[in-house]
Amino acid sequence: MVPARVRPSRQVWMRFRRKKTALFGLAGAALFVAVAVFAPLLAPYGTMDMGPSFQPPGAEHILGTDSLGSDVLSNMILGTRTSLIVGLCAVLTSNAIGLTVGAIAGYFGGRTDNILMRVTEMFQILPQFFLAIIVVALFGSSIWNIVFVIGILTWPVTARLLRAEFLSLRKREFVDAARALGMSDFDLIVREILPNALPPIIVNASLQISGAILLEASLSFLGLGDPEAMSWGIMLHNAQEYFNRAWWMAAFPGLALFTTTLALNLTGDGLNDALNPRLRT
Amino acid sequence: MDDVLLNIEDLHTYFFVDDKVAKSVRGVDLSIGRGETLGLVGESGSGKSVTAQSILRLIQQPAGRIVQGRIVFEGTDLASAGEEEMRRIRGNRISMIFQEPMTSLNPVLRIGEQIAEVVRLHRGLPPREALVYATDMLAKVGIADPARRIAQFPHELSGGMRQRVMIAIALACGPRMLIADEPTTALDVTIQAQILELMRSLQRDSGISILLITHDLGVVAEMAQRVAVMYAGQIVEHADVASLFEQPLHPYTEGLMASIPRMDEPPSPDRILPAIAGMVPNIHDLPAGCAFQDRCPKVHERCRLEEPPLSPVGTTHDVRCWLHVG
Repeated sequence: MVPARVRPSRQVWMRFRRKKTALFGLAGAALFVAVAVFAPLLAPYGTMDMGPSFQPPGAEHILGTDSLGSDVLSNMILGTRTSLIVGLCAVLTSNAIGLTVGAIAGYFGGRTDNILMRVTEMFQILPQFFLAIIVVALFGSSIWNIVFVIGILTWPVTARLLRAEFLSLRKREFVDAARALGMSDFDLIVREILPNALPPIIVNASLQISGAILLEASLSFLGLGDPEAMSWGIMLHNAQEYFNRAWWMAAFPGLALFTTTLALNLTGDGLNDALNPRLRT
Repeated sequence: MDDVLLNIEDLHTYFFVDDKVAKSVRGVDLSIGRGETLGLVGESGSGKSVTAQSILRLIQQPAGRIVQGRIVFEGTDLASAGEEEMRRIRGNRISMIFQEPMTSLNPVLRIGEQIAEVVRLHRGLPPREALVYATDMLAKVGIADPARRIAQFPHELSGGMRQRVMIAIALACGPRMLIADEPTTALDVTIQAQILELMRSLQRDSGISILLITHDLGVVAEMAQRVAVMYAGQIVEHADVASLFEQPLHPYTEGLMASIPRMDEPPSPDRILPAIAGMVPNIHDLPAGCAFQDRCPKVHERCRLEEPPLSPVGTTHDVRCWLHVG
């Protein structure tokens, strides 16, 4: 039993830090965010600083140069920022839609729920890349279009998760008690029920960020990315032709993608253990 | 009672599930005077909670509906009032406290916040003042060190303290009526006595009317001036507390009284507490005639044919039984 006088946020941290993998993940995620925020300061070269092409990793260019002669390490650092922006914004978009739909469906239930869930299922069966290609073809390949596509593709998961929470929470006595105090449906949804439903949503969002980053990389790898913004996916896309000649062009962005998603997933797992009420003692 | 606060006339609340109709409340007439405590007694499924929920229009939607009757509170018919008007009345003019103080508080909000939000909602107080007000309310319901308690979460409080918090929330906006649905059932006996005493003293100070719903006749004897006994959606006996306890007239009330263990008779090992035989009739399928006929030890021909009316026996005593009709 956690001592009673400790704030809930602190209790979560106390449970979170018990797991080494979670701490490792959090450290990785923190590093990722720090690199993204300070990217221009950290990158040794700018995107326009062209040197000799296909330089292997060495003293001058720690991770080598690509086919155009720009520094792989610098591109990776700048790509971190794109990944973070896409990851965060896509998850915000996805949650804005998913939370609204899920809360309304779960709270009102019945027919409303039925209609909203059928709409949600329609979005779930959309083929990811097909939709992405259509959007990029129609509106061009900016990172905001990619954010939009990822948001549209991932909100159903959030909606279903929140709906399930609301379905059980709305029957709890404290909701009846709050209604008996004169609260409107909006008050009940936002002030009373939502805070109780947040733990799984937070965990899901942390896992969604890495999913969004991977999806952005996949789209960019297929040439659907924003050519203006440097990203790991675009680096991998550019590296395709030169696999035999310049392994470093593919290996390092791939490694960055791998470690980032791993770190974010470990953080999400740790949060799950720390927030999941069923695992509490 | 010349000064009536709430008057219920011929209330019918039914639940429509699939093709069936559950007639949970079938023609209830009740009135509560200002400053009065009315006990509403009955076993589970007798319709006492549905009656209370009807007053605040908190009947489970969309199945439940008030199909007939009026609920007049301070000149407004609550049975036909708009939802927005009901929201202004709930928690403000009429409050309700529930059976389970463990689950009636929001587990993720601080105590102070839960009191403050109702004051902000109905009184429009700014957040800081609402929190100060919340602290005062906690002190008023007898919680020590209120300034520390407002920052705590419900799980950090004992059951008795949580029920005090519930009372503080219910009374925060100075309502004229409190509906207490089994307020002490989930509490230890000693805590029960404290909570009842608190409700009594708050009533003395504020002149609030209390509708006390319970299946505990002891609680009624201690708190109420008048009692209504409900059975299968109807009031079967209605009297002031003294006459009801001295002379219960309806066989159901008699049975309830008989099933209370008595302190003035020594218990013996073979003494079995009398119980009322049988079960509450299925509200989907009530028998013709009196609803209590199948369990009644004094049942006779007429009970199976006609439903008895609620008729006066003396000035303050009404009963729904053929044995006591003219």
